[in-house]
Amino acid sequence: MTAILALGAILILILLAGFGSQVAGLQVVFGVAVPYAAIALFLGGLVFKVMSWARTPVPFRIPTTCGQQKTLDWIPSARFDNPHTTLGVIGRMALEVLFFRSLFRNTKVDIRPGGRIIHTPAKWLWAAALAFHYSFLVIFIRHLRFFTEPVPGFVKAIQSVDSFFEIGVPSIFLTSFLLLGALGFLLLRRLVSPQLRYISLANDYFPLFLLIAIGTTGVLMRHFQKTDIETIKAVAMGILSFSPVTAGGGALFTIHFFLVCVLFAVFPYSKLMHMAGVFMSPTRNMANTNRAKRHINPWNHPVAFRTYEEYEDDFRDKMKAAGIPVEKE
Amino acid sequence: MQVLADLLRKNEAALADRWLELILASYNPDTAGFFKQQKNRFANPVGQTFAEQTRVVTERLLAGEGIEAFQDPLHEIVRIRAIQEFTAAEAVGFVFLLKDAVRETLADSLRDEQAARELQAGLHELERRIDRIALLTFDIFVSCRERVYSLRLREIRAGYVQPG
Amino acid sequence: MAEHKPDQMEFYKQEELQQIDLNPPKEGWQDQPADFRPGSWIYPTKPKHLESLGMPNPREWSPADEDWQLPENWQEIIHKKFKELLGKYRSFRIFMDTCVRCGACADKCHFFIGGGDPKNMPVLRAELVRSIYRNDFTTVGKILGRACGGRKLTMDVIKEWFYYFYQCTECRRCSVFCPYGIDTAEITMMAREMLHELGLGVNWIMEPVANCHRTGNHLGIQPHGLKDTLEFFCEDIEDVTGIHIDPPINKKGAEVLFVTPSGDFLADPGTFTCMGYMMLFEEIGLDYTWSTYASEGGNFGLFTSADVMKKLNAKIYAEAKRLGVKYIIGGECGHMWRVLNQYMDTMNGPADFLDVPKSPITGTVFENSRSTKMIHITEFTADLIKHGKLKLDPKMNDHVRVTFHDSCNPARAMGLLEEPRYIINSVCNNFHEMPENTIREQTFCCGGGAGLGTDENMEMRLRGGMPRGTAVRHVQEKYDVNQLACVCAIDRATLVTVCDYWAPGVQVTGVHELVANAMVMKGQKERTMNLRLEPLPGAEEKEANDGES
Ligand code: HEM
Ligand code: SF4
Ligand code: SF4
Repeated sequence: MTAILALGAILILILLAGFGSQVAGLQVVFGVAVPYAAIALFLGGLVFKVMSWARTPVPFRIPTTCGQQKTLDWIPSARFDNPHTTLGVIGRMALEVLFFRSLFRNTKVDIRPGGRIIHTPAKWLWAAALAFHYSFLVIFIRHLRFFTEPVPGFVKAIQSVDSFFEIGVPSIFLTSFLLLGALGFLLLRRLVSPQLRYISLANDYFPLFLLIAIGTTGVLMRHFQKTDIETIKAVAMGILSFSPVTAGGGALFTIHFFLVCVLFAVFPYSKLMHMAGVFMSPTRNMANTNRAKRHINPWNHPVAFRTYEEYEDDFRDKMKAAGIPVEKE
Repeated sequence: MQVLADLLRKNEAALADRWLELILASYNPDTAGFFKQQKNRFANPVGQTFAEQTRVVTERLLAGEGIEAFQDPLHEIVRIRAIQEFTAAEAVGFVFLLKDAVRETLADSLRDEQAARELQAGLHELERRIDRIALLTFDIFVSCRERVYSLRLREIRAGYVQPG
Repeated sequence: MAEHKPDQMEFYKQEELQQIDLNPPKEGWQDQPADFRPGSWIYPTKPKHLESLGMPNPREWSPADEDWQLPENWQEIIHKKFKELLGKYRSFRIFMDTCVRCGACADKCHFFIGGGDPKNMPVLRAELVRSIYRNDFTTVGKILGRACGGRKLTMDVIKEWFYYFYQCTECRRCSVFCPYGIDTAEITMMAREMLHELGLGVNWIMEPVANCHRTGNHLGIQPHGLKDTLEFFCEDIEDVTGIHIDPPINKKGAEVLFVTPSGDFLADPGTFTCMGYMMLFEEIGLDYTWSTYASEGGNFGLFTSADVMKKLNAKIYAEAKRLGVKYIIGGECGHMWRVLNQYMDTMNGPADFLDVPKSPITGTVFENSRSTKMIHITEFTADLIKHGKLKLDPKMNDHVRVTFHDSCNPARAMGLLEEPRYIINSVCNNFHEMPENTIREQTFCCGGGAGLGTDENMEMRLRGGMPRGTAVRHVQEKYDVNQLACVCAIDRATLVTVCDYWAPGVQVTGVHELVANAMVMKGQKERTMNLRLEPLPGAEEKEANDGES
């Protein structure tokens, strides 16, 4: 049900863009208004959200420790899993961001009776997540060729590595298919596993359908319904230089471009904000120096507690009878 | 009689699997999925215990073992269901699902009138044994519940739980 | 199907039987109200405790009632508190915003593993609150509502919160596996704090809180009672070792203040651990003192609210200052160390009137506690053993085959993993680890933490204790393990029960009980009993033999 809701939303968006590309008057909307609105929503939302996080205090130092603490000299401590230096924290965060370390923990290789080795599906989650995110990154970088003149060296380099196998003309980018494959797996996983279906919301299916639609239209443009790169580059450069060109590149391109705008627009208001959240999560980005350095809580207001004097007043007779020293006789 | 035994033994694994599946259906479907799929005994003690012990019970049933042979494997299962959110009937009723599993496993053979008549007597006998096992299961369930209450009582006596 | 009886063949139509519905219920979890089954919830706080603490809405009520007697404007109250907490805790905000529902945490909670209730999956537990957050505090949620996972705050939601946030032991196991470190324990704390605004809490937490406020400890032991208890322990120690100890109480000018959870005073086997501390301090001649005013290391305020936690914790530093000690040593306890390690210094510090802890025996300076000035007893003892300052005879523990349970908080909020293991290995010859995915940072909770360790929810606790119990049973079968060591007072109460149900025959012990039993004290008589006053194997025969020769 929730999946259908999300799918429906994507289909409506696609139809909208398809229709828009055919109606001359609407080209201004899809070529100019939409991208600028999307950029505004993206930047505005991102800045607002991150600022609202950053403004909220971190009252306590609460790292989740996943290894030995630093105590006695002769006990080796877990430098990254239980970091006690800034460098350690950077290491821990790098492992999280670059390799999804915590998700990897999930991996369980079991030896079943009879020596059979079983990889539980958890490993697949990690692998697919990694495949998807890296493909996305590479694709993102590849797209810079539309926005730059001259195209920087590293973009060209990545592009040539990506099309290493030189299959087809123009040659296939591996990451395009990796991306779609990984997304397909992530979607299937949600649909097939009853457990995941139970916890999934429409907001979980929506980005998946959206990204799949973007990826598919992208591949279609490159390999099946060739789109004129020069026109597109003109559009892209036009937007960046604040002198937008409305000459559209056909229905497919309009759809692709529109969906990307949607992706940017919804980014800060959806779970995609995990990109920023991962860097600011207090259980991961703090060093376990809890007892060595005092952490300050900005709203640490005084709380009345029962003082020793009040306590002794309450129990003085009993204390004296039991021979326990008291302050006031 | 012999015909039935042979037939079932040929399908022993399928029978045990089916029974397990019927048992797991008493849980929320997404939970049942987890109980079934996660194969690590420590990450999924409930599912793995059920999987192992239903196999043992099935095997012993088909081998015609005496009632004592069922005490341990049933205890393993009942001990879990006794503290899950079930009524007594739900907690113990899983044994009767074994009958369903048997009938289903035999479904193809039973469709044939002739074969069905031949199997009838053996089936009747088998189901009586399952009933006997169900009664044992009930005893075990009660002993588990008594255990829970005695544990509660001990904690209260030890003073972990304070009155007033 | 109705027209056929079970003894007719037609009754068992294969096609129909196989139609087991493996699809989740048509309606989502959002619409299934909590079903309050006995054995899964805890008695609510008695009004007198709320009154003594000045907390809202004291009244007699039961979760089984239809009407929970909430104030008229309860929605407003929750909304206001929700907003306040979002403004105070970045963790709360980020955890509300970033979950992708990847499901990595879903099967990591012991309550889900042992019981199978889907709302015990950490991700859904968090969604119970997150759905309200979306609906009430996000723009998109306000517009799209249900379509983007929002949910109206209804009475059913409040009941559900009460039911499920008192089925979370704040153990943080889920947080270890989450790619963003989302810690459901943190969300549970927030939810409980909100519920307290409506007077919804449980007696097993609030009574100890009220006690601790008045008497200095959860159990309500008064000063003379504590003295009696300690002296009683000393009698037993004398019976076992022949050594007489006078426990120092409220002694001004002592070097060290020792604070331990009051559970150690109350019941076996915690009491044996307490004797262990006293024997150790006696043997090394430590100048220390107990305090009757700060006679509680544990802190049920952690399970209540930040302010209550601070209120109870404040006594420790206040007492250290009054007595003029140099630093503080803390006993074996789990949640106590969560508070001491991650909250105390921030809340009630700076402890600039104390010295950086330095072992008077070995001269080791505990740099890791440079600011808090409080060290864990196993850090202290491990250092003693490493420097050879204790005479140990591990053979005394040869009848013990031990495994070690990492308590949630020392493991996942501190990283105290090797110290206890080093000690156990020094005092026992037979130590066996439980399976890798059930120890250290992946340790399974006892099922009774965070204030759930009472008896009326016994079934829930046994479900939650099952993953731990299964692992214990495994080492029992494989290595003949007969004792489970731990560094937690709650464990010493709850794991006894868990083991009795899931791995009968395994006893629970504290680490310092093992130490004391293996420690050869200066001037001791020959030991024939352990601290439990059980004869040591071989001791009887030996006595008989000695008599002959
Ligand atoms: C520093 C950057 C990022 C990190 C560390 C990160 C990490 C993760 C991790 C660990 C997961 C969970 C695994 C999974 O559910 O597949 C995930 C899921 C996801 N990420 Fe990211 N991510 C980052 C940036 C992004 C960006 C820029 C996008 C947007 C295009 C994105 C889109 C997604 C989506 C759609 C999912 C959900 C997959 C699903 O529903 O199964 N991520 N991310
Ligand atoms: S592991 Fe983290 S991101 Fe994944 S479902 Fe659980 S809380 Fe959400
Ligand atoms: S903190 Fe522990 S008890 Fe709570 S949801 Fe997470 S795993 Fe479960």
